[in-house]
Amino acid sequence: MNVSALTVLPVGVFLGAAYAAPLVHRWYRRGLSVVVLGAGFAGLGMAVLLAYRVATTGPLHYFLGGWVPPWGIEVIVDRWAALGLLAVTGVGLPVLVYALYDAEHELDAHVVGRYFGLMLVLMAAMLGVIMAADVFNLFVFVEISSLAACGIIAVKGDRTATEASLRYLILGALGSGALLLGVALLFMVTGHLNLRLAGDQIMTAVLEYPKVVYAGLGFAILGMSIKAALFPLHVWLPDAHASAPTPSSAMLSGLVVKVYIFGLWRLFDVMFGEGLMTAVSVRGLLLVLASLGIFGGSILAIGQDDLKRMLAYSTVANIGYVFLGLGLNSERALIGAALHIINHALMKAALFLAAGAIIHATGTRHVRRLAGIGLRMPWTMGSFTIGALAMVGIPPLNGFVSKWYLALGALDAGQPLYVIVILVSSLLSGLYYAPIIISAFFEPPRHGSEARDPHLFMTGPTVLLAAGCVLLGLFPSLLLVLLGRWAG
Amino acid sequence: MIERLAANFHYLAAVALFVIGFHTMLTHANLIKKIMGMNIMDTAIFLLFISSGYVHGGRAPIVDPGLVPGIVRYVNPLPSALILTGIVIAVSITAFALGLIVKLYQFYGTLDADEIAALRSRGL
Amino acid sequence: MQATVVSWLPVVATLLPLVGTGCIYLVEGRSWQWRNGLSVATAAIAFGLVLAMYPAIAAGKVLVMEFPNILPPLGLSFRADPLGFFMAATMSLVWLMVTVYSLAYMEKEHHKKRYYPFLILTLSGSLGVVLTGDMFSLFLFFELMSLTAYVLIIHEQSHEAMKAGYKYLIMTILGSLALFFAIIAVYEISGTLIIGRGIIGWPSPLALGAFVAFLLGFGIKAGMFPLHVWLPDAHPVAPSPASALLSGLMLKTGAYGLIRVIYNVYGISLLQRTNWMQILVWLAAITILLGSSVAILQDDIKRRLAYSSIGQMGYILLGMGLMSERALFGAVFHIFGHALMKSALFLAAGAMIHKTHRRSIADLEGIGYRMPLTLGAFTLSALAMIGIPPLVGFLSKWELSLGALDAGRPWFVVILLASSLMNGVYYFPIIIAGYFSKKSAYADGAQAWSMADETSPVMLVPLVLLAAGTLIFAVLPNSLPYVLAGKSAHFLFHLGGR
Repeated sequence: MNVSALTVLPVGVFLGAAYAAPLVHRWYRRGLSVVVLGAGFAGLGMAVLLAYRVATTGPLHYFLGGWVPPWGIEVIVDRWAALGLLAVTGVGLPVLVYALYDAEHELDAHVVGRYFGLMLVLMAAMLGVIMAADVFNLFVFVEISSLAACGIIAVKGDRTATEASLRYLILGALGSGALLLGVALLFMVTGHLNLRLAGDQIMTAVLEYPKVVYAGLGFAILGMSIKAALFPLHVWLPDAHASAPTPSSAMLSGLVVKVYIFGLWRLFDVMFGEGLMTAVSVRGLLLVLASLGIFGGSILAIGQDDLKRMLAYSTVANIGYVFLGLGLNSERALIGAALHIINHALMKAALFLAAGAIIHATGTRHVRRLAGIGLRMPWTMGSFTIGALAMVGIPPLNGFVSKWYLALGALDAGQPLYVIVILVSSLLSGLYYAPIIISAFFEPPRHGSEARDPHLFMTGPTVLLAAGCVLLGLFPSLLLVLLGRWAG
Repeated sequence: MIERLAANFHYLAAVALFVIGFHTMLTHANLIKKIMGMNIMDTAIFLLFISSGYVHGGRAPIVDPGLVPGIVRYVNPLPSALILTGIVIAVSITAFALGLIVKLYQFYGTLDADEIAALRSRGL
Repeated sequence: MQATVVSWLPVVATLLPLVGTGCIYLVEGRSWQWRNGLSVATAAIAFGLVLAMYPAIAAGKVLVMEFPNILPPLGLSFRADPLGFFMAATMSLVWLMVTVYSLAYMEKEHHKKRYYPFLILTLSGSLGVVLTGDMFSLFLFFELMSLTAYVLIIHEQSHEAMKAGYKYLIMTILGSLALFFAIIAVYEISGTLIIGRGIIGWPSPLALGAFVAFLLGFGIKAGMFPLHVWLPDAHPVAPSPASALLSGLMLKTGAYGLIRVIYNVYGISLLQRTNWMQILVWLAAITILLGSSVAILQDDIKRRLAYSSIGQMGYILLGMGLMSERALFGAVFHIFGHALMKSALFLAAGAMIHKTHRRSIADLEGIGYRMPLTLGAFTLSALAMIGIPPLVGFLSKWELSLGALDAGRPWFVVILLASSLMNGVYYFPIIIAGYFSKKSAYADGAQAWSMADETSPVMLVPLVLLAAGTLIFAVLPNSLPYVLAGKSAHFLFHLGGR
């Protein structure tokens, strides 16, 4: 038993807590928060420990049961994965805390225990996707997270949520079908499921069976892109993210879609490799789709009246940024993409949690009926403002830092056009966030409005996430240390 | 050409099943049929995956001490093992989807996706 | 190369108002006296801290302080050279006056709890713009200033204010994105953003793109044609003290940014080899003529002043664009002069509006019978604006004209003269009608001038001081601003940065 075994422990902790949560909730309702918080803090602690080890001593590999690939299953925590672990556990914990208080009024009492079961399964699955070092393992964890994600939408039990969940499930199933098909085809020609070993074989396989390899690659990318909501495969996202209970929205928009990009990046980097990626010019396609997504998401967001739908469309645009970074593929663009995954997770989670508190307090989801909210709910609306400003990319907030690296990466790649894409979409996001902030702070409140900041355990996580936006904006080196050698 | 196709007939079957499933999933408005299409599609992929591991004339991969190793050929066990997991996943997705469909039927009284969309747009 | 000394003064001067904002926010719930006192004290201490840099500046040193660990790999850096010091001193002086004036002006206004913290927060942003040592830090404080100024603009929360504010906000975001592009392009080209002596080596399409983006970003703030569209809406709707700051000081941060871009980022040698500066020069000429001529048509007194500001910003842009030391000298001195004149004018107009609740120039006829000192200060500043000797406005126009001749472009002297004429056309009617018209309501039975309706001393003193400054700083031999402006121009032209 060596220290690498620590890598699989977070998955186990969340999975264990996931089974414990519904039981504990049935027998002793108060115990639920102990289980959820215990798992959350333990996961975060382990993620920090792993990140520290990775930063100091290099990547960790763990072979389940001591079986070395090609027979055994490998788990890997490198810099990229450590970053993902930090993002998932760091953003997941405040969302879980918020959920503990939010679930009481947003959900039926009898589903609360199961809801947390699903949330914790989702956390475990996301960690699994990030650490998986073989394609089949990747596939399994992707499926678990998809199912759990559908579950935490449908748990609300109303018409919109049920329908959105079903649509997400069916499209997700299409995606997983494509992914599995891709995995099968690639396995047929390379003979390996381990990413690294398959990657070693893939260039010879291309010479022998080019069509099979291309088809496999195409299906795998298609499958992951549906789940990661790459434009125009995003159609399921707005309904799903907007109709879910608030903590689920924050989790889905902030983390879940990003985790699939982690998986996709793993495929690009380790399995397909530079040679194949250049040969099939996947990146050019990604750039175009990403730009379309950035514009499309932003423009559609401007047209939304529903606060949560607007945030959901903004996610479509921000997914575009991450894909843009992957498509540009210069060192700084990749750093920018990686930073944006974490930064957007913080911003969007803060925004969704604040939006949830606002909707709860005012009873309206309409963006034009929020006049004067800022004075009645200063903490909530303050966090919302910070999140929104970070989205626009105002320095010194974290959104600026990732846009800075993405833009530099675009110039490095000799594609200054994409700098313009980034800037124009920042302006567009100003157009949909600014009116909300303005009317919240500078218009007189409606009469009889009794809105107030919610309970400390709902306000606290929101403020904490917003503070994270400021902290990572001022000191991006906290993350750049991790990314330092990874991108090179 | 024909010979190659005949030798790989299981791949052809997989492709045919995939197309049938995909077509059913996209064109039928009935939600139950959509789910059936999805299952057919999954089955096609399972077939493809498993048949890729089949070794012609190979035995079931159970090591028998009586047989001389190296001479006896075994079927590759990995795809079968993996597809077991895949089937489990497909079953859970199906179960979950059916649960949601039951719930939608309670809300709208129909299983037709188009009718549901129409009802929704009328605000029902 | 200049001798540099490490000093905390620029940092403290910038961050003190930031801390002050927090303190004001905390105490204002308890007592308004404390809030008012603290606001004035913060502005005064900031002014004192800036002045404390003077000995080092006079000795020819540059004050620097760097924090490379914040926002790496860029880092945050502070720096005070003659120009930075000069700008900071001008700003903190006018800010102090305006803060004192606000105490009386805002007494009956609503939302004072919001006004004072943001007034002081904006001071922090403005000082940060001029006391930073690299384009990124400059950008950071530029954003802080621009966004907080929004709150001052929409203070009244009227329909027009919200509309003007929204326009301002969108233009500001547009400008900041242009700056973002420019800065990133410069960083890509040169790998650094320090305010040095031309950090871009040779012309390239990307460098030109960045130059245009800089013009766009800073030009929006400076009210340069055709990016001025937000200005005539936003400046008049703000409370008068805030208008004074917007027109008197914040416009100058755009000009300051452009000076840094021209002389420190690109460097004169590069710009002399290209003809990129022609863009700026011709836009400046149009800005002058447009601002001055449209001002004539305005009936709202604050709107007229706002358009006048556009014209005056044209002078400054022209001066920095002509690439002669003399013209730059004129531009830098005009930044100072216009800060005094325009804030005095806005404060005087504010005092009149405060008393009469009318903003139309026709309604203000005969106001001189009731508020002789206010109108007197207004008159003095207006004369300076027109360029009557011996006032500050005359000195800067004189230097600008000589600079235009140095640069071999006498036509710009004609433009300057034409604009001065137009200044006369729109200022004299206000003055003459104010003192001599008998038909207005205020002149009823008033045979002699009376001080009875003069505005309160708290408002009167700052505005009279500012107006007097336009005379004193021009006639005083070896007047400090004049010397400093010359030093700044010399420094930019011959020594550059690090």
